[in-house]
Amino acid sequence: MRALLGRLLLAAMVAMSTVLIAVPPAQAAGSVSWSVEPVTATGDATGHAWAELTMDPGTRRQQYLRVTNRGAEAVVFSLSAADGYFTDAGRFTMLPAGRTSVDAGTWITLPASVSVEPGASAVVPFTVDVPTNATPGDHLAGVAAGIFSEQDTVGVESRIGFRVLTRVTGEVAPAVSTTATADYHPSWNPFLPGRLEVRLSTRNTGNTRLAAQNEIAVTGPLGLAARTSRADPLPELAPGDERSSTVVVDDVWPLFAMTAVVATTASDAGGNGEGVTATTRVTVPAVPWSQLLVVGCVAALLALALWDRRRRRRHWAAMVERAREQGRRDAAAGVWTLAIAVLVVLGTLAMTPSSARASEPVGVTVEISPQPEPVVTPASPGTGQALAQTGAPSSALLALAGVAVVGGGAVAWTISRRREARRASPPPLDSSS
Amino acid sequence: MRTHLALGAAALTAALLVSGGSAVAVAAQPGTDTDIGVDVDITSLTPPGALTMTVAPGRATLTENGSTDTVRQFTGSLPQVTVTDTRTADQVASGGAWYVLGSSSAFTAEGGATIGADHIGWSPRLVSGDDTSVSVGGDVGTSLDPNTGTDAATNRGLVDKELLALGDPQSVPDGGVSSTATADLTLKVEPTVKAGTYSAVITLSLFE
Repeated sequence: MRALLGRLLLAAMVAMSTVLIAVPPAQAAGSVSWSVEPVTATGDATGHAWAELTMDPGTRRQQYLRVTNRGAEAVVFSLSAADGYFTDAGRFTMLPAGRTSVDAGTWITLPASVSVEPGASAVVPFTVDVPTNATPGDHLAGVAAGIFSEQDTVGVESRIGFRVLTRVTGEVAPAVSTTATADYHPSWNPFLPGRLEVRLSTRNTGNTRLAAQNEIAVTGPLGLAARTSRADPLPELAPGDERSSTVVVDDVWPLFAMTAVVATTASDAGGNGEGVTATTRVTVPAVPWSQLLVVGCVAALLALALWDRRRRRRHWAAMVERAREQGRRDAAAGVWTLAIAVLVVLGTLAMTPSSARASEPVGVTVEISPQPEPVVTPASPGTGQALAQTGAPSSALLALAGVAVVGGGAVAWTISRRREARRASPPPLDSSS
Repeated sequence: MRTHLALGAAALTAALLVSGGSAVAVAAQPGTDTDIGVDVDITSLTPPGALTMTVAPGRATLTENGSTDTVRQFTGSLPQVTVTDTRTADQVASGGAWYVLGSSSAFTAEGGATIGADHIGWSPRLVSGDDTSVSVGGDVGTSLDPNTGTDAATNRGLVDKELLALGDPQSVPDGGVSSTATADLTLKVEPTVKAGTYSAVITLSLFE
């Protein structure tokens, strides 16, 4: 009891000696250097960066902060307490001087300012009064000591503070909920998987500060190609806070429809109680365009190759057929040629009727004229006059006709061969198709 | 025809080989190695074991600069803010990093005219200090800046708490580290704004 009284007296003396009542906002001519920390009543460091209190409604607790002036001049520091909150990045801060606190900031009572000599420090007591109607759970506030820089058009209030986190007893229950949307980003490269970008919004629906973490399981239809990704822990959430985050799940193959199941595990950042979980799912279309393109290209090439082969086979068949036709025609021509040749030969033979053989079938009775020398010589058509006159016209005609037919046949054959050759070589229009 | 087919097949094969090869190359890509040696001059800062903020004297006066027919622009800069962290590892809360956040009140003139805090933006910069142990916040534009591109999300003014500087306690060398940051301020108002002397308060808060 005596110790307590003594401590209170000491605190009061410290407070009396350092607090100046009704000073204007602290002004500083030179540079000001100071630090602020939570301490015990005797001015020892608490070992914590901020104050965490668990209190029943309607109770009061005394706390202490120390302001150390590390500059060269005595400075009057303004002291303030205000509602605390987390920024989107999860950084704690408290409302600026111009804003009115409505929650735990109003529970704190502390002197308006403190004057500290250079190189000295002051322990300033402050009280936390929890109203009787305070809701159970965590309530955030901060205390700070600061200065106003010389004021002109823009005044600068600089302050150093620490958190005063009060947990009001009662039904303390952490709770969390998460909503998700997602987009699939395929890779242009058919051999590389794409990535699934999941945008999450996690909300603290309970009444405690929350440490939350999201885990995302991505699966295709029938649970194929499952991938999980654990996101970084979210910045701390005060009750009612909502944090947006984006999680990119890499190496996700597109299987037409991918489902992301988001499991949020959250636990009381105050360190008590069990964790809570919340699950949500989102399905996004993931069409494997680049892979389909490759398959399409291969299929098209195969189809083209098949079609080309068939066309080629048809062409060959036609060629063979044409060649056969040609062969038949050539054969007929050959027969004709042969016939003509035979005719020519016969004709030629007929032109030598005076030969021994020729006389044989004709050898009938011949009235031999009294001319001295009967013609027996196998003369040329020009020589044997009498005989030539009888046989010559028909055999010469035959020979001529034969030569004409052979020549004509040869010309026709050559022409037809040429035409064939021209037809066989691919015309330019066909090849470009 | 056959030549064309062969060409097509060859092109497809080449494309597949190239993409497959690059897929393998991507798969085999080694992790980025950011292990870069940093030389730090270690000078013992006194007193040890504290997180100290030092605010330089000076005014954050805004003067008209670069106005156009459509926007009147006033610029200035914040007093320099130095944060010295001499705490040892066991004094720092786990995962705790110090940061200086800034927000502005609305500008008010006598007679009640006001200019919202969304009209003032800033561009933080490091004056001195090692950028491995401290990083400055991103630029914040004003609501009169065009809301296009990636800046759109940050063209909101100093309405909420914006980051001026963030310290990384993991990279504080023995003996502590001192970092000084400031920010260039830009106030943009419509040409129709009522003339007068406006004043506002920018609050810089050091928390961890």
